[in-house]
Amino acid sequence: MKPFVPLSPVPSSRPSRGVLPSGLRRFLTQNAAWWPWAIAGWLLACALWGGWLLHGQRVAAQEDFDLQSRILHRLLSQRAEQHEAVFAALVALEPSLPQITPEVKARFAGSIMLSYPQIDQVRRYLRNADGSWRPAAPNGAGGEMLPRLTPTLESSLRSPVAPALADAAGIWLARAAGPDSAWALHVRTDRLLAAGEQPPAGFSFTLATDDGQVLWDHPASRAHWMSLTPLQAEKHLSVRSQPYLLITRQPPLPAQLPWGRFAWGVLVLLAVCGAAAWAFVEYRRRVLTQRQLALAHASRVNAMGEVAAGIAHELNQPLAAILSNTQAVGRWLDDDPPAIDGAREAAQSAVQQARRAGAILHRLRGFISPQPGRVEAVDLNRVASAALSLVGEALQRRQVQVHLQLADGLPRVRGEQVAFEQVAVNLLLNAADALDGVPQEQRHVRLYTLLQNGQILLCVEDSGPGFSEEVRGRLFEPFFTTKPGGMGLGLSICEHIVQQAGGDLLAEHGEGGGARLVMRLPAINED
Amino acid sequence: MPTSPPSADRHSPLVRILDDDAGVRDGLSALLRSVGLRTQVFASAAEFIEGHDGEAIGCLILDIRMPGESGLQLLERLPAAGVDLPVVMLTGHGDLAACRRAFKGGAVEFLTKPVDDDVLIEAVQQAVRAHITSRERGAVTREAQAQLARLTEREREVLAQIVEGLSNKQIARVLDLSPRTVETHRAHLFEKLEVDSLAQLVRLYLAALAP
Repeated sequence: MKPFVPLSPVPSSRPSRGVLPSGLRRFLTQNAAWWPWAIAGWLLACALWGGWLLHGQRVAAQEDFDLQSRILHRLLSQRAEQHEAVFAALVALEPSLPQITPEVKARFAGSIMLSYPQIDQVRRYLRNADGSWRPAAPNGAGGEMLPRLTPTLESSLRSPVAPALADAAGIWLARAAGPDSAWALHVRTDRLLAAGEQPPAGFSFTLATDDGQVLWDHPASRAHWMSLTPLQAEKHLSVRSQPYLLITRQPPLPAQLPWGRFAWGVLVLLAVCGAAAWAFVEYRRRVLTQRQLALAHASRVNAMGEVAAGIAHELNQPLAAILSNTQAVGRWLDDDPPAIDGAREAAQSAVQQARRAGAILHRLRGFISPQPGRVEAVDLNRVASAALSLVGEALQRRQVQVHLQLADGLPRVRGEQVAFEQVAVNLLLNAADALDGVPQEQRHVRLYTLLQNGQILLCVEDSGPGFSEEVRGRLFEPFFTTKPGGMGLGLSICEHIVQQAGGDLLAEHGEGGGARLVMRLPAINED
Repeated sequence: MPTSPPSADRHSPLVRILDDDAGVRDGLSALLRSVGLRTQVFASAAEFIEGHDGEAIGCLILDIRMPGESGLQLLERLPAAGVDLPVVMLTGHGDLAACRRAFKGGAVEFLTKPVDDDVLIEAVQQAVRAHITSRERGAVTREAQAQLARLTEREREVLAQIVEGLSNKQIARVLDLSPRTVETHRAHLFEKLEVDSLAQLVRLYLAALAP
């Protein structure tokens, strides 16, 4: 064992970076658990489901609201027509008024109020000589509203629209019966709609004149929920004399939302998303495994160039021996008398050497086969020797001196012999690559095995420049490479192989400043 | 010591085989023994230097690629180690640089594995012949040198002039002697070297000078 070369200056290595940030790349390429996918998918699906339900609800609510608004509009228009009919009757009464006794008038008014319960007062007004109006009956209630009605009363003589005025209990409507007389009705808004005609909960409306005077707001306290946009509609009452604007509104109410269906959907979606995410992760894992296998195969075939030279040399030895032995057999037999013993001995040697050639080819076939190998108890010493025989030639050609140190009596590990060989081959070729810039006489690689805390270590240590901490941290990332033209897959595949076998692959700084890659596998108990 | 016992009589040539691969060693050995040659096999350069039979006539078949000291390195230090065996180089693949270096180092033949029996045997025989010739030439030279050693200093000076083709008178002038003295030296010289003619004298002189 030659001493290691002292530390040579570390060249600044410029790792090539991928396009994706490394965190995302790690998440996408490595085996994340299934539940983050499940939760993300579930939340998205719930949002979609909720949105769909809301939309459906909104459509249904709009239809219902339109219907309610139409009903209300119809009802209020109908009431307005009733008021109009009352006015018509009163105006028609005007010419014969002087002949009518107060009792008849009172009975008439009473019958009006009986037929139209919303009308609680009917008043007549007369014009004074100065143009102002006064109630026809003294002490009548509603006298105070008269001055405010006066201007519109004047105009109502020429317009079909009845002047209106809201007070605390209802609406005053007025109609001129002639130049000097007028009628007014007081409409109790709380009686405008019968018990069966009340709008549904949450529904509210406003009745207003065109100049903005609010005649009726119902109900006074409005339901609001989460400040969502209420449904709203506006339409004038379809009565010429009372074309008030009816504004209806309906805010969405929590109680109207389909909570049950939503909850049910959420549960179903949870189950579906969980299953889908699990299936997805499982599928991706399988695809990844397949791709890893394919990549592993590709990288093995890649290493074939190096390995082929070694195999060619190795195969040449038994072939040379077979040729010599068989030719010796011929010569022994040509003797007179034939030298049977010598011939037999040489023939046996030839057979042995043919078997040896077969074994070499068998190993090569195992190395390049895309099939996963058999999991068995593996001796890492054998792995080290086999790997060295595969690439020994390549290393020798590159003037790399290999120092092999195998620990005695190593327990075995569980895994695939060929896969481990592949890892060791990769590590050896990497080490050789690392030594490319090192003077020939300083190119050393130590390949050694040892037992440490119940784990078997196969180490490859080179006398190269080593790596920086930053490179060391990213060494096993897929597509990370420091080699021009490198794929950056070798070590990530190696790590995958070793991890599959329950071990790990470590990158350390060697004693001489070079790189030390350690394949660490748990020993199996074979007792 | 991985040495095969002599398979033929002790007087047949002894071929030393040095290869780290036991299969190749034994195969070559079997082939050479089948034609009646004796063989001696070694697994490494150190083993060879330590254990080979330096006396027996024969040759060395040397593999280039070996762990430790390579075949080429050994070839280059054979003269210094006092080994006079002709060397047949044997290699897994014949690359030109190694071939050139082998011949420069004095190899008599450069063969690639696997090697055909006729080619190998021919090469071995050629090497053995070269060994015999060199041993013979070595023997003649040593004898001639021994004879020349009997001469006195003055006689050797005279001899040097004689083989230059000078007459007695000319020699006397060059060495500042009397012609008679030169003639006396000349007579002693022929007597001591046991030669009868100038031709024989010259042959002996040249043999002594030969490497």
